[in-house]
Amino acid sequence: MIQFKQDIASSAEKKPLSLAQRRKRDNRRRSLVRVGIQIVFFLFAPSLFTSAFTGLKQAFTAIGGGAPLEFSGFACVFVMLCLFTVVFGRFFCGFACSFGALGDFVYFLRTKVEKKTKKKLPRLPKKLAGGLACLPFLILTAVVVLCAVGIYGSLSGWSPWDVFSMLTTLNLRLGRYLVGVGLLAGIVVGMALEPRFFCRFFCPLGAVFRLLPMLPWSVLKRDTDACIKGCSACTASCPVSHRLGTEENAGNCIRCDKCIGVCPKQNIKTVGRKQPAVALLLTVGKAAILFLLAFLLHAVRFF
Amino acid sequence: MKANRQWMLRLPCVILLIAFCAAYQTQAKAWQRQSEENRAAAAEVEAYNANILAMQAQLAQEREAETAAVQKYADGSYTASAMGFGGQIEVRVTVRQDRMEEISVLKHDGEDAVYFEEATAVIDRILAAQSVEVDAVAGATFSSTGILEAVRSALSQAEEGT
Repeated sequence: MIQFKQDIASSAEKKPLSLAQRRKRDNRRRSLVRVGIQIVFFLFAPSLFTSAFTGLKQAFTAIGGGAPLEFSGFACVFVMLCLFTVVFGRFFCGFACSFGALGDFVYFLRTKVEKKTKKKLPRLPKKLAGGLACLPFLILTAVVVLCAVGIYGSLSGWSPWDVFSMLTTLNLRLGRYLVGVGLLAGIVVGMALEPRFFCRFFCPLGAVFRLLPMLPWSVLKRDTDACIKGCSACTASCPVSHRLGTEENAGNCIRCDKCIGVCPKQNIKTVGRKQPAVALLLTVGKAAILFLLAFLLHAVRFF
Repeated sequence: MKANRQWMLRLPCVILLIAFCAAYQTQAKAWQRQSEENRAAAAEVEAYNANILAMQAQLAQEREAETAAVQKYADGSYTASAMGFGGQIEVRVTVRQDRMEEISVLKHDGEDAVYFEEATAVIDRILAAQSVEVDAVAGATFSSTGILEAVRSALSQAEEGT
């Protein structure tokens, strides 16, 4: 009798999932891990991106004033994130940046609303989106030049990032930051229009990362000859509308790894693509390394 | 091969950039040394002037002391707090004979560690200037302004104490 029961149990367990079911399960696990990592970084290290960018601004302010460069805490965070991006690709952008996570969350809300009301909400026109893609470099140049000239300091209150990081500390004295509050509100509205709205069209720190020489094995690749003709599932699922396989703008990829599970032929080349469990472990490992580095640089806070 | 193109193009650029930074750093250090020497020379002259001024002041003070000994701040330790980046910053200021001798931060729960460490530089500025009319630390404006304000309010206590 007991033997029989065990047989039933084991046969129920062993009932093989179909390929589609397995892929669905893997995709669900992948997005759970992703959201988990984003929440951890949002709670404990929400100021990583502002710290890094302040490091860059300090460097240019110093150069503008003819003063020697200082290895402040901000500069260390900046250098650390750049090195991390060179080694692992823009994993920081895809998983750890709190502003990116905010964008993902706002867009997630939009999809929920669309499902509830069964209405399509507006998106940015494709042409406009294509044209805006170079805006981050302009913003980066503008900020850097303003820093070097020494005007930037008098524009405090303009930065939506300052407002955001004040909000993450629940600091609500925003009287002097009206311009920044307005910009942040506009950005949040934009985040509901397009996935990764800020990252694609505005983020000056992302612009720096885009230019970095990422190691070849940290870039997602696709063998376009092996693709199904006319299939663009990866680009359609990509929050930054990146076309994999075009080498020139490999830096646009934010390594969110959403495309890996979408490709019908598993044609996105990355470590562990045939073993989803290994890929998940690698993702968690990268997040752990980044968290440890941030902790060592005092950029993690425990309330 | 094609896959490595971006890397091989960008790596030399980054190396150039780092080399530029290194070159700039040595040059900037040289400038800094130069300006420090200039400042030292100027300080010598100023010290000489100050010496004379001090002697004059002493004479005046002696004359004044004959009338009444007036102190601006009462000696002692004063604790006060002000709003920083994410919460109250509490400081203790020790005053002796109208001089701030020590400033220590007792509480800074709401501050991000990186920012706060930058902000503590303002304490040295206050002590060096013996005044709260100093610049806040760029990049850590909220935290350092919090420290400044807390010291200011501690001093006002000291003023009332006289």
